[in-house]
Amino acid sequence: MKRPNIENEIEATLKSLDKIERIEAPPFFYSRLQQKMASGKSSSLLISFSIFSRPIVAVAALFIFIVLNSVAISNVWQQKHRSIASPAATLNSFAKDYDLGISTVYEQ
Amino acid sequence: MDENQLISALQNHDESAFAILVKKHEQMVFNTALGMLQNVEDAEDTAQDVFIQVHGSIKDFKGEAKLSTWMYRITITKCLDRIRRIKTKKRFAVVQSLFGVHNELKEPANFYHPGVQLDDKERAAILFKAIARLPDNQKIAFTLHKVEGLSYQHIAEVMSTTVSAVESYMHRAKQHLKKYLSDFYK
Repeated sequence: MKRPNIENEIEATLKSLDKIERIEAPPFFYSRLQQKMASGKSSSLLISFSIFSRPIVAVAALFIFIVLNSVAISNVWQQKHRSIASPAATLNSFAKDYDLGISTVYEQ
Repeated sequence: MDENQLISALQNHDESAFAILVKKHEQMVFNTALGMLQNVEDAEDTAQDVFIQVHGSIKDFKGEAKLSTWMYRITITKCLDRIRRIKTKKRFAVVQSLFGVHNELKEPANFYHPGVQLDDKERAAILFKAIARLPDNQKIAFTLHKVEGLSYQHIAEVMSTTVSAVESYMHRAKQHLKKYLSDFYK
């Protein structure tokens, strides 16, 4: 069981805001607000760039950069490998792409 | 200038109307932010952010709620955002300290609200410490009622909920506070 003086202290603490009064806003509040609004407009570009300084965004961007680069490198490597492995296949696909196998009326 | 005229002037980008709005509501916004954040600098900065948002989004104000209710909502949202940011910074500093980077982690000092009577200053500082530990909804309801003196009806409008929900938040807030205070005074 709580001691009566603790009980009283809790009640007094809970009532300590009963007579609270509103205080004035800091002096020159409007002037400082205008200043902030003006600086906010000029630095909106800076704010949008500052998003990239967040660690989570930077790590995500780095991850995407690495993934895209590895995909690009593997594509280049595969193409190179394919062309080295079978030059005949490359020639065939080139001929197919440009319809070199089809005879035209002028050739008849 | 009545409220409707003020709103339409604001929607027409009348800067003198904005000055009137700030003069009329700066005390309300600042005191609400002070009650929620328990820090004068943070409260002023947040109050400025509230007016910047009001300036930017007044065109979307439909007049479904009173202007003051809408501004209370923005203030509360901004305060909760700032509290979350402060908590995240603290957590990040704790993680950094594990890796040997020592950022100064200062425990917030006791908050002595300038509007509290001298006799109640110490007790109010203890109560503010306890209020800071409440869950968001209870903190909002308790602060708006005790610090701003809003009725349960008005708090319900600000929080977009029912009066009985506000009563429930208040009841639970008092229970939590009593528990914290009894541990404190033991």
